Amino acid sequence: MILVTLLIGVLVLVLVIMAMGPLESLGWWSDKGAEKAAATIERLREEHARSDLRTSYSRYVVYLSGIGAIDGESRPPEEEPFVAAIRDGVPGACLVTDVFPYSVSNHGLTAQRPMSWLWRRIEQARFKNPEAMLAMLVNLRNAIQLFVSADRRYGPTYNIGTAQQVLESLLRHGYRLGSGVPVTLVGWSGGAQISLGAAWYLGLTKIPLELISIGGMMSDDYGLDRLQHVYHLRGTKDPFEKLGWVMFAGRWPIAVGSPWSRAVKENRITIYDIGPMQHNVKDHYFDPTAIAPDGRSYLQVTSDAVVALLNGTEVQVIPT
Amino acid sequence: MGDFLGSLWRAILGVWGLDSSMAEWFRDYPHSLEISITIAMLAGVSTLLGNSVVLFLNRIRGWRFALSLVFNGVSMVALFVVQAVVIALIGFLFTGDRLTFFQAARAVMLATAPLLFGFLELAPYLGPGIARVLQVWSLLALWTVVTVVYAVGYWEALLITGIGWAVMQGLSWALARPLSALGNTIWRALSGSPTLLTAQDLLSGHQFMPVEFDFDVSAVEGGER
Repeated sequence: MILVTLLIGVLVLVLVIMAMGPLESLGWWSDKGAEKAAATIERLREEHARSDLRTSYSRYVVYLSGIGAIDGESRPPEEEPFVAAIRDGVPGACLVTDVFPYSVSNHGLTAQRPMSWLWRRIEQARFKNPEAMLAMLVNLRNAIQLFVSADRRYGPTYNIGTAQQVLESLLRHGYRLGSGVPVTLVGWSGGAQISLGAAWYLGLTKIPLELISIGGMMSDDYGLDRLQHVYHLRGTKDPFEKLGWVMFAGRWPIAVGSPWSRAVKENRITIYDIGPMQHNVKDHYFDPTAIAPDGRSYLQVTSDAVVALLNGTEVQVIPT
Repeated sequence: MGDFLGSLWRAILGVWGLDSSMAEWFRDYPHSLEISITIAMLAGVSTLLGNSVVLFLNRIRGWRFALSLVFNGVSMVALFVVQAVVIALIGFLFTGDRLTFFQAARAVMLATAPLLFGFLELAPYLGPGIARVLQVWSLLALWTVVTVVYAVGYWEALLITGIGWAVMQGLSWALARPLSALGNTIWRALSGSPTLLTAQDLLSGHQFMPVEFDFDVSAVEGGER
């Protein structure tokens, strides 16, 4: 009886924490979100009217990290070699990595926030031990934001915020709207859903958009309608990727007319089973110690696949 | 005060657990009306919080936000009143027992205890599902309470509760248009906003993006710039 009460108590506590999840983005929208978004659009118009539309890059790649991210530049250490591999593998592209996908205002968890002291401690603990249990709190907090983005009630406001952050970052890196230079969003895990959500509003500016999802937890977001193509890389032993197919009803085969079904019907979604990767802990997409039969590490397999897609060459998967 | 809070907690736990022995205790408890009103008010506030997303979307703040919550609270009480009348009428038709309005209202309000979790509707993605579970839970609670109030078997009580629910659904369908018009009028008065903005409306981008806004991509592709 005590155990049942305890379990119910934990469940209610988790649900209470979840219920508080949308308040940050709703409060942002209610307080200043519309003005911020309008100001960004106005700035884009001015830039567009006066600037030379040529850019130094043939492509822009925006990396949106998974739910372990603490801010735009503080990612779990295992992702760093992957980011470096993209930077080296696609020399003509500009890689943008300073967007924190789990905040509408791009405020990292350690920025000025009521709980920033907690996130700083967790960040320090994670530096010492990447597998620290405390770090799960970051995952929980950011996973809730993933669901905020996917929720039809909250997504439209949340995704305005993240799209605005992506746009501003692109402009900081010299992107010129109207130049027609393609932008590829690379979303790892929850970053794939945030990319989808942002894509709807990014599409309003007519940027040619693609998404590369790595083990992405994605809904049938409206953003799919604004993407030219989605490349979904997945590990055959990734339970969270599989969960996405179950949790998000709009991806079920019977969901005729959903944005996901529409994209599938129009052949805008390509799925690659890249190998027997799990989602995290070990043998995951960024594991440098797990070695495939062809001698490459799982990290190499994943980064090779992403680089191949960005360069338009063939993706080499691990046969399973 | 301590005794009242203790009794309140006992009543809430009893309804959550669909415990008919609690309903029997509650029937004879002298402050049962106060307790049921308190439960209904708390359930109302919680449910309103769960539905407050529309106020955020429409950027309703300050006194307008508070007033909208109060108005929604009054609407919920009106709904409970109508439901109590419906249950009393149907119960009379089936059993011949004539409940006073307050007895019926007490039963209906007590059964709202599961809606104390109404704020959980805010939970992203799971919220709408949680709201449906709470509605079913409340209906089961009403079934339990009706069993005791009318001293009838489970099947008869189920019939009374089920028909009561169906009548409420029918009424809300039949009166949808005038209720919607009334709701819109009150919304305009409370919010100062001419239209009710939904999350889907935001997808057009018109809230922050001028309609004429466009990038002349074709000109670039044609090498004109």
